[in-house]
Amino acid sequence: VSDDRRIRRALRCYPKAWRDRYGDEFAALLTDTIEGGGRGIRMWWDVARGGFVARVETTGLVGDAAGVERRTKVGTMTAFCAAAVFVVALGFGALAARNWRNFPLDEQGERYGMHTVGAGMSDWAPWMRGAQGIPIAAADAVRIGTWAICAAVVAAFGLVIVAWIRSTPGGDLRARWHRWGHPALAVAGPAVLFRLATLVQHVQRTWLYQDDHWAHRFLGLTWNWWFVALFDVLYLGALVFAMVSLARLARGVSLGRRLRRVLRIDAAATAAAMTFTAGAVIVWVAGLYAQAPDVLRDRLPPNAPTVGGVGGPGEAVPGFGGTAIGLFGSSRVSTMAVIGLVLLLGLALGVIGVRRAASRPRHQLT
Amino acid sequence: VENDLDGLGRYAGPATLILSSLAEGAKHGYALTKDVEAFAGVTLRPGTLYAALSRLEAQGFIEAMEDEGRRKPYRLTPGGAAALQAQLAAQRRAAEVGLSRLHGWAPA
Repeated sequence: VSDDRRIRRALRCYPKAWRDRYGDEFAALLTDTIEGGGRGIRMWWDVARGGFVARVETTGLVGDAAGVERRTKVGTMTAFCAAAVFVVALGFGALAARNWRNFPLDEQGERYGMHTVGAGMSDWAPWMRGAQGIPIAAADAVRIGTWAICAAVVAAFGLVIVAWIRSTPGGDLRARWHRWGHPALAVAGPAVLFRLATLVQHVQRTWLYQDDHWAHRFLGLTWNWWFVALFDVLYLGALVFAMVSLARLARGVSLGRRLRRVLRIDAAATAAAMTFTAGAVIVWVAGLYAQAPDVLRDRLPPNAPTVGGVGGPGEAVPGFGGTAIGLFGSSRVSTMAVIGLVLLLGLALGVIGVRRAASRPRHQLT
Repeated sequence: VENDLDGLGRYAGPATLILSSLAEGAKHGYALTKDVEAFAGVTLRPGTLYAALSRLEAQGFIEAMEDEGRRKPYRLTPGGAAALQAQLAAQRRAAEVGLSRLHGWAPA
């Protein structure tokens, strides 16, 4: 293969916009380098790597090559796609857990632990009970060896976080704390405070007043802490964050420049978080409904078994179905209507965030 | 202390070398690589060189001049000179501290 042909091939590693701007001079540099004896696998590797980086940067996912508007759009779209992957993975987890009521409790320590959690929260705020769905699905996925599902969930969640940070104007994983720490703190802060409050309630109900094996209590407490904390961040945090962002939007342009930047970050982050949460709720409700059509009622059917002190005839339904019903009423229509409103609000915030970001010159955002 | 070139991430090092080379005068890509190789002993390969060049141009630290055939020379801008000054001053401070401490160092 002639050098000219290799150079042409190497240039194809780069995106068209890059080639239009730098293509001729870059080809000249490659020609000079080859004639100067600099050819070799390391040079071609360096060129290929540079092309790959340029292509990824052009998409707007990383780096500053793309404009703020494109970075925000691409980041938000990636968050949507990643959230879709995440909820599909959770949906598979829910399907894997469809027989969870049928397992003998004595042989399923992890399930017993789950329902120790459930017992602790059964009288708590209705939407808190919804968090049981996550540890139950996770425990069953692990129990039946569906590690691929677990890996997909973890990977997709990681992608959501990365895309979320990237979707903020000026967002960069390597950037200073103040660029992305504000939304992260605003989301995590209320969740942590609320978790501390619910922990007291949980300890009171499951640790002190139940005659149970210590290992079950410990397991329940541990699962509760890790998995419900995730629920808190995504659900409660997103709701609180949305209200804060709306309040800031309502204040208009009288805010200082620094605060306006924070506001744009809030809007984009809130849109991503709320959309993710709403999507998770929809898929979870669908998964539960597929398992048992009665799940969208606020009470279990008369033949439902009692598991670990939770469930049984007339008891409230755990899972996101119970969550949504507990929050928004017992009607399927009203539940879906509220979820739809949440989605619309998330999209509106996203549009506002993108427009505001686009209205600012790039150098003012970084 | 952060300065403007730190924002270039992994390309901050190549960017410093490129700006230092351009401080002498405008150069095109191949002349840049040979000059950097001569004064710093570092080989900037084509992909790395143009990744750094494109970032420096986007930041306004360098600017392209009229083409010379297929080659396009670049020159330093006032903003680039200021960024280079800050970067080299920071490196000099670190080097001075390291050298002074090394001067008083003795094997245990």
